[in-house]
Formats: sequence, structure tokens, C-alpha cells
Amino acid sequence: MTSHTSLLTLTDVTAGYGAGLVLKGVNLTVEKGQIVCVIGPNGSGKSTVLKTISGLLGIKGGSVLFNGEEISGMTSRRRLDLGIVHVPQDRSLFPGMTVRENMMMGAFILTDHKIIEERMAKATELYPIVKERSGALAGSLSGGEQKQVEVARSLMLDPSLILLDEPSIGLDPKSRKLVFESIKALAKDGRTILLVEQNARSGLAVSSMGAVLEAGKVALTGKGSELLDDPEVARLYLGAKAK
Amino acid sequence: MSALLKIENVVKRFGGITAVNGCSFEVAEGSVTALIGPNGSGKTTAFNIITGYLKADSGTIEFDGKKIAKPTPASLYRAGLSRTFQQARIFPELTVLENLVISSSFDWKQLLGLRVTAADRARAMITLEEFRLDKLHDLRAGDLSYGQRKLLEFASVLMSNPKLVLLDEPTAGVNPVMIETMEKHIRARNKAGVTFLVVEHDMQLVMRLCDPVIVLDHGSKIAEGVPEAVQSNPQVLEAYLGS
Repeated sequence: MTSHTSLLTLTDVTAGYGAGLVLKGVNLTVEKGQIVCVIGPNGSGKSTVLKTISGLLGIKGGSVLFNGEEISGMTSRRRLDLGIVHVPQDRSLFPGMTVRENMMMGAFILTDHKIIEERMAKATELYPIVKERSGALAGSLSGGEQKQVEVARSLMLDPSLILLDEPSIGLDPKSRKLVFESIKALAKDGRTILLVEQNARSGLAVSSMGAVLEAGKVALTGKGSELLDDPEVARLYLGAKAK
Repeated sequence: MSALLKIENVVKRFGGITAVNGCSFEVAEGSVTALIGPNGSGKTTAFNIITGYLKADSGTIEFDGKKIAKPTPASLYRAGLSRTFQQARIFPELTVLENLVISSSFDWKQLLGLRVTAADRARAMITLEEFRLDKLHDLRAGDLSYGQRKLLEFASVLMSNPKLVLLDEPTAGVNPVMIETMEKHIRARNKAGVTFLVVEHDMQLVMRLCDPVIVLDHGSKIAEGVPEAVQSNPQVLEAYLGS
């Protein structure tokens, strides 16, 4: 029997802020090259799951394996080196720096300028706004524009696992299409993507797998298309009117 | 129907960028008017000017038949104009319940003493229950998730007694099922006479709920009409919806 190592395996993960637990035993497996979309009600722990993987939040129990290696004790910085990047939900650009400077900050652990420029060019291909607004202060961009730069910035470290917390939030319909298309392109490029989305239908539509988080536990997993077609999932999580 | 809000030739520049460029539109009393447009088209800037958070370089704003010479958020709120923000603004150190009660009161003694009357409490709890926040009523509001904060801010606006409510991307980061709850509340308040101006990228919601729809691009109005007409307007397709 050949042993198979998944890219990411969360087993019985518990975590929280202060005394209470937000995650109450999360089990989730992500294979290399997959796009996995986590959906669920507000406050069910979706963002917290991403934080335990990137190291922004420590876990209280369970394990987080990345390429078979336990990473839950590692610092966020160490996890960056392993190729895990996290685009959080709240705005994270430096508003007083230009778009280009923000992109450079995304590459702060790199020293080779040739590599930095190459990656900048690649990110620009997917997100033209990086070039169009290169010299503008990030704080002067609209909310939706900032979101695109944040996702573009995450590519500067050539990550193998990208954690995206609501990449489509605040985006106009045109930009939203662009973001979901770019997520597919990133996966084709060999990257693995774990995303949290309240635009659940769009998120599941581009995903190979979906997971429903409810009250700190994974209540259900399935192929993205299966979850989309499940009337119970629609009633509880996708909304009946949003088609 | 007469205009409750009238914006005329409003201009706002930030450095070299003209965010709002000679913008004029009206919001009819009793309507649910949508303000849509691409990221960076000036929607939030227009909101900030209308609600007194920014000062326009030129142009006039009329609310409830009166020109507002020196608008401030507080004086406008007292005059019956309230709003929500893209990044929900709540009182993080107050509890969820206190956040709601504070919005329903102009009585500063009550605010400072944080005396929650039984009637206020009962009314607030009904609203919280609908947004699945009732079990969290004693929690520090700053500990809520992003989406829960949006729901709390929305619920808070419902507690006040405004004539006009401006909603800035109310559904961003909100679970689709809760979006339907929001929609229900907007309809109910509208029926009771409250006028709404809504910035929103969820086009299905806009098409179901809003009439008329005003479209901004590059800081000025490019289209206005019933949802169906706007949706098929070639200029709007090009600028906003994408093909």
C-alpha cells in the first residue's frame, strides 16, 4: 500500500479567542492543486480556520499537517517560508504606501530583485490594477480595488497554498468575475487554494470541493457541484433567492 | 413623489483624482434607490459627502427640503439621516445588546448610564434573534466576526427612527440566508415610510429590491431607470456588469 500525503490536513482542531472555543474539532483535508471553498453562517468559524493554518492564531488542540509535517507550533513567518500565504478579510494594505510599495512589502523576505520583478510581472498579468494604479497611495483606492491588490500581493511569495478570506468582498460584478477566473488560473498553475466565501454560489462553482462549517465544526463536505445542487444546503446556507 | 434627497453638481477631488465629478441625482421619498457602479466610481465618496463625513469642493445637497450648509454626521442623524459603512462601525467595547439600544436613543443620560430599559431590551432581542445574534447579546461587540458586525450595524440602523437610510454594501461578507433577512427588513421599513439609498454589488438583490437604479462611473451619473432598463443599458454593461 502506498501512503498518500495530503497537502493540508486538519484533525480535531480546537481554537478560540479568550476562554471560549470558536473551532470545536475541525477536520478538513485539502489535496494539492485543489480549490476548496469553505462556506457557512456568519460566526461559524470560517476565518478562524484560516488563521490556525497561517499561524495568526494558535490552536488549543488537534493537529495541522502541511505536506505531512506538523506546523501548528510554527510561527507565521516560518509558515510563509513553507509557502503558505493568507489574505485576510479586513483591509491589510498599508494605506500610506503606494500600490507598488505594497507589492514590494509582500516580497519582504526576498532579496533577489530579478525574482521580485518577475513575480510582480506575473501578478500584474492576473491583476492589471497593480500596474494601472502603481504609483497611487493604496489608501486612495476604493475598497474593491484594494481587495484586488491584496490578492495580487499574496502572489509575490510564489505560494503553494493560498488562504483567501472572502476575495470577492466589495467587488463589482466585473471584478468579481476576474477574481474567480484568476483563482482558477492559480490552481491551473499548480497552486492550492483554500477560500472562504459568502458569495457561496460563485465560490462553490470554481471549487473542486466545498466544506460547510456550522458552529465550529465541519458539518458537511462534498464536490462543489454537489453542494450547489443540494436543496438542503441551499435552504440553510446558499439562500433560496440567490440563483 | 418628491425628492427627499437632492444632490446637485457635487465635486470632490483628492489630490489629482476627481472622485466625484459634477454628480447630480435625486432620491424620491418612499423609494428604495440603488446607487451602483464599478469599484472606484465614487459611490462611497458620495455617501461620505451626503452624510457629512467629507466636505464637497462644490455643489449642493438638499435633505428633506432644506439645503444643508454645514452638514455634520451628528446633526444629520438627528434630522433623520442614518447610514452604515462598508467596514461596519460598531462600538467594540459595548455589548451586542448595548450597541442596539444606543442606536435607538437620543437620551444621553441613558447612553452614559447605559440603562437598558425592559422595553428597549425586548425590542432589541427580537431583532437580534432574527440575525442569529441573540445568544451573543452579552458578548463584547468587538469580538464578533466581520459578517456578524455587518449584521449588528444593520440591526442598529433598524432601531433608530430615520427618514432616510444609506446602506453602503450591506450584504458584503454576509451569508446569503441572512441577506434575505436583511431584504425582508428593508421592505418592511420601506413600507412603513422609510426611504433607502443602497450601494450594493449583489445585482440580484438590487434587481429584486430597488427602483430606481442610479449608475455612477468616474464620479458622475451615467444612467438611471428601472432595474430592467439599467441592466440592459449598453453603457452600464460595458462599465459595470461585464458581458
